[in-house]
Amino acid sequence: MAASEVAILLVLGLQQSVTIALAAQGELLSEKSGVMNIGIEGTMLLSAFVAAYMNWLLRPMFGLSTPYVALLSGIATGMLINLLLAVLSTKLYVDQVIAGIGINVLAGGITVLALIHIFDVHDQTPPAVTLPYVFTIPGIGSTGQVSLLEIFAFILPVLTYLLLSRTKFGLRIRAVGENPKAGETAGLNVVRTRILATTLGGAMLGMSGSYLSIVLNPFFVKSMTHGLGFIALGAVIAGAWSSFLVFGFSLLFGVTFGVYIEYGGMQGYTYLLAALPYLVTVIAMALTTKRLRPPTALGAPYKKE
Amino acid sequence: MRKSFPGVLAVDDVDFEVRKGEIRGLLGENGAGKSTLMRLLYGLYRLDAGRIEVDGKEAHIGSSHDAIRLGIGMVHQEFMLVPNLSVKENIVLGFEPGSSGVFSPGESRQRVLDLSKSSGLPVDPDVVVERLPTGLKQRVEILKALYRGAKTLILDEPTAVLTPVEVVELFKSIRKMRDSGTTIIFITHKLQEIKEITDSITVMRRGHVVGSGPTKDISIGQLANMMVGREVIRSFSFNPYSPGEVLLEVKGLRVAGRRKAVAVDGVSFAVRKGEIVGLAGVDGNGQSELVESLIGFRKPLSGTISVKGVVTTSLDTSKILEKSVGHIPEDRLAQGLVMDFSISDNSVLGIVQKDEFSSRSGLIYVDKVRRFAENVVQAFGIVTNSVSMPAKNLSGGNQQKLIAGRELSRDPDLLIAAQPTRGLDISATEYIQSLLVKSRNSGKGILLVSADFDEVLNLSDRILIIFEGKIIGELSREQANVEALGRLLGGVSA
Amino acid sequence: MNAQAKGSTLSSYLETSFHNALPSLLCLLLGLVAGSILIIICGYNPVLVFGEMFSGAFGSVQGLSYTITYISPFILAALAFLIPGKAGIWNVGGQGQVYLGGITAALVALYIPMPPILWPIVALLAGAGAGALGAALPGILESYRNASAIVTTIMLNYVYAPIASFILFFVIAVTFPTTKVDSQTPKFSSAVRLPHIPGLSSSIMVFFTILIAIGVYYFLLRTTLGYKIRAVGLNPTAAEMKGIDWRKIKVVAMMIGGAVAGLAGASEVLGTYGNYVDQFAEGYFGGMGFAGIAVALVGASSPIGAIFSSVLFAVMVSGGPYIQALGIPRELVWSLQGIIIIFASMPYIYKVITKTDWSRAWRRTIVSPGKLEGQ
Repeated sequence: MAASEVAILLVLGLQQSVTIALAAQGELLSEKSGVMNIGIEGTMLLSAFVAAYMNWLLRPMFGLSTPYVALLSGIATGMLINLLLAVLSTKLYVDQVIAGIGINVLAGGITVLALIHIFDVHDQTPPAVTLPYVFTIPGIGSTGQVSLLEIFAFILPVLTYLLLSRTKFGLRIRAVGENPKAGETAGLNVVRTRILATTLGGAMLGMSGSYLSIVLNPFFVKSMTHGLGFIALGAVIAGAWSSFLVFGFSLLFGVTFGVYIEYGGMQGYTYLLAALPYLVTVIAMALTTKRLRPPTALGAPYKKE
Repeated sequence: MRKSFPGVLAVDDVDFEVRKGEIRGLLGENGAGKSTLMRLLYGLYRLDAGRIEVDGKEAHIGSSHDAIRLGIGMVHQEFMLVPNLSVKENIVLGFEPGSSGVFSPGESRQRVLDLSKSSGLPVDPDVVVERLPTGLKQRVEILKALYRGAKTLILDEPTAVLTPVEVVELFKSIRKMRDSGTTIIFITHKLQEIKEITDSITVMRRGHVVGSGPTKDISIGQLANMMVGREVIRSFSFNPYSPGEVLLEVKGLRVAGRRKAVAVDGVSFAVRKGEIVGLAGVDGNGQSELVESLIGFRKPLSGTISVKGVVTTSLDTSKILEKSVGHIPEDRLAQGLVMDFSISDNSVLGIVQKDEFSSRSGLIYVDKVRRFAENVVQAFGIVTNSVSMPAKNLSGGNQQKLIAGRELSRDPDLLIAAQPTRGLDISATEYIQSLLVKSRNSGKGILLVSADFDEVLNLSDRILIIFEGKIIGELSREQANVEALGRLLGGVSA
Repeated sequence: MNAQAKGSTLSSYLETSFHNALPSLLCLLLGLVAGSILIIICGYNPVLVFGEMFSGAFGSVQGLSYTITYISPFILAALAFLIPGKAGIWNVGGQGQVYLGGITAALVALYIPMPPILWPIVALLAGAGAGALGAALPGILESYRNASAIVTTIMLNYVYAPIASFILFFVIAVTFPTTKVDSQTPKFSSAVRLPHIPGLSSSIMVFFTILIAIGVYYFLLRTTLGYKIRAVGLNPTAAEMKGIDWRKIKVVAMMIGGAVAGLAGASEVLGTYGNYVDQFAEGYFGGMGFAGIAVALVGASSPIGAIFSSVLFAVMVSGGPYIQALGIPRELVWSLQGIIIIFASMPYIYKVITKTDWSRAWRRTIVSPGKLEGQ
């Protein structure tokens, strides 16, 4: 393969990585506080739809800055869904797993419903203008256009790292996810911290979904998340809940997934590539040791005495 | 002050006073009310009657935050630390220095170092807490309280999880703190310690204060008497004591603990046919871990356990129980019954696969199980309409009767009964105790592990006292009296 | 005494079952209400929608066939989730295990000819076995490595499914070249396919599935293994103290769940389709495995409940196309399922509603919001 082909392949993979990375950092935040959102796919999908819809709908109103407004609306959607999930699971002790699965299924159905209802089609929204690009990587044509979101995706792990280790809020998130009882006796409001952390994580999930429908593509396509949400979950686990490792795995998984999409089905080994992120995650889980373990209170509802 | 819980008057008309800058010891056995008293001071419970004054002013303590604001801090037996955070992070959690939302590790570190120096409690602020030995973890807890401005520090059984070396360090720290003006309330059941470290002592028993005064004026004997002392009423008839062959033999047993590295530290004893061996001790001295190792739930670090001459140290629980060993667990809710199971189902827990209850292919003979359960219910006086009712509908006493009945119906040669009458009323208690005596009279061997000293004194042919993982004394029925028992329970041997 | 006892046990059984089912029924009701609201938002009439669904599902031979066809996989997928659930372990991997079962059955159907009657039975058993192995892995990882089965089973879905596709496109396709083009194998020999109910186009598997569900019910209540599974799920400590090896039991329960899922895949491949179609387990309401979870939850996590619940879901799926004739999109039904799942995760709501002291809560909100009680 020529160098430029490899380069294009790499960039395509990195685009998937961006999607995964954004979602993974968001999921990282919520899981650090103890809330597991299995509904990543659904959240991403809904955010993607809302962003694409707004992008198309609000063009007359906002003109050139429409994509930014659309992005904001996607972010808001992500935050809203995660907020709902957080409240349901911390206050109503709803089972996080089932609620997450429910969100995934519901999102799948509702987005298509909306497509039919609003646009009278079954598969995708009408094209709109994508988020403008900031610069272009030379030598690979239009694939090399880089927008704000891609740049942000690379900065994000630094931000989450700083948040978790250098802010009071981050410290409290880590405490609450590990030993909520200790946090409570130290005077923290466990429920509130979890809700805030998860909602903030939702913002990133929203970004990830929006990335799909207003940057990678100029429209929303049904089921466009393809399991990327679960890959993001896998990246969080494989990366042992540490910002930079999670980012690393996001990159890796993205590239393998990208190759799978590009050659999908044509070569036997591409099926293995499709399975790779998930397999790696399972292996990572089998290898958990005391050092690399999930936040102890993850997934467990916190009941005050 | 007064405080009740449903059915139990935990703290009854207690007057308790502590002077500033003194180390006050609070002595008592399980259930004496000392923990409850302190929880009232710390805002974890609310008073039913009475009042609290701090520095001469009436104080209302509705939550631990109130207590903290009044300068009262408490270090619990179970540490409240976040394991993956560093020492400094744990100490400042919730009250981090610095304005805005930024957490400054440098400033936190400095604060912790300053505090550490002024209180005389050295720590390394940057170590991750889960790597610390227990003694240092406790020190972090103390610093946490001091950081929040505690002028009065309540320590609840602080030496329960420490090694002897760590205890020495702790006492040094406590003296330093007292010298710099902190008031300390030291809760314990250990007589030697309380004599060593405190300036004055209050003794509680069954919710009352039974005595208090300056430490130098009270002898250990007096303390022992006050802590345990009550009239012993023997109401059971025992056959003459002639123990038969050895049923259970334990040699040099060492077992790791839930919270300590070593909970059982070289224990040896035997239980014979036709005797009740009482293992007396205040909770937390290794009894739980000992029982768990006997039934195969927890593998020992070293030593041997034999049942009827066969070594069982590394055997699975099912094999051990098969040797006609019965077990009444100390926690009926978490370990004894499956609450959502019916009484029938609970009665055959662990034995449902036996030929009498199910076929070779695994089909349960529901009628036979039900009949067995009905027999147990009848024979042991369990109050219920039907054996199909879930166990959680039974009262506590009846639940315990079910557990005891289930075990005794199998007529085990060796019965290990851990806190069998905990939480039961008088009639249920006496009933179960009579069952144990009957069993003993018919030639069975019983290991009675209990923190109820009445029970131990009443029932045991021989009493072994466990303290800090070791058996520090043995009393025969004739030798067993309140003072002797009290001394040993408090850690004073001979 | 006996006859009376039997009568009273039956009525008490019904009473307790009803009691246990109440939370699920309530959630189902809430879900249907929420779904109706969604229907109204989309501009349709809920009564019309539900009515058309039911009449479509039962009203014609085709509809009835369709409905019956879906009942079987739904029941099996539900059992695949709830049996491990009884042991306290989450099997969210039904989807992947279904594919393992399906492709294994296909392999037997294509490559290992046998005399009739024996052939389909072996193929079904092989499928069940494959599913069991696929579920054993996450089971072992949870019991012995403390790795959450929720996550491992979900992840393995995305491993097993590509494996099945891989086998289809790169192993089977070698012997049967049309597979690559059609994305499905040629039809199996009629000797291995499951016979249909006379007059309908659904296979007879549904009868066996209902028997299996009833069998599972008795298995859980009347066998020593079922007893141990329930004990481990309800109180693993007490079980362990009585000598029950909870780790082994959890793995066994997972394997049974996986076997049932594998059976679901195998029976669909042999019965409903008659060949192996790539990605056949998508659809079925968001994926056969996930649909099974919804069915199980709505059925109050009981095998008998799952039977009724699967009929309900089957109606929703098969009634779908009939609604489409009215101009209502099938995805509406899809969304309904999602809503029902979300509500099914909230049995706690039932407790909240029935146990809250409403008057006290009201007083607290209007009299002193945020003030501590007792002051």
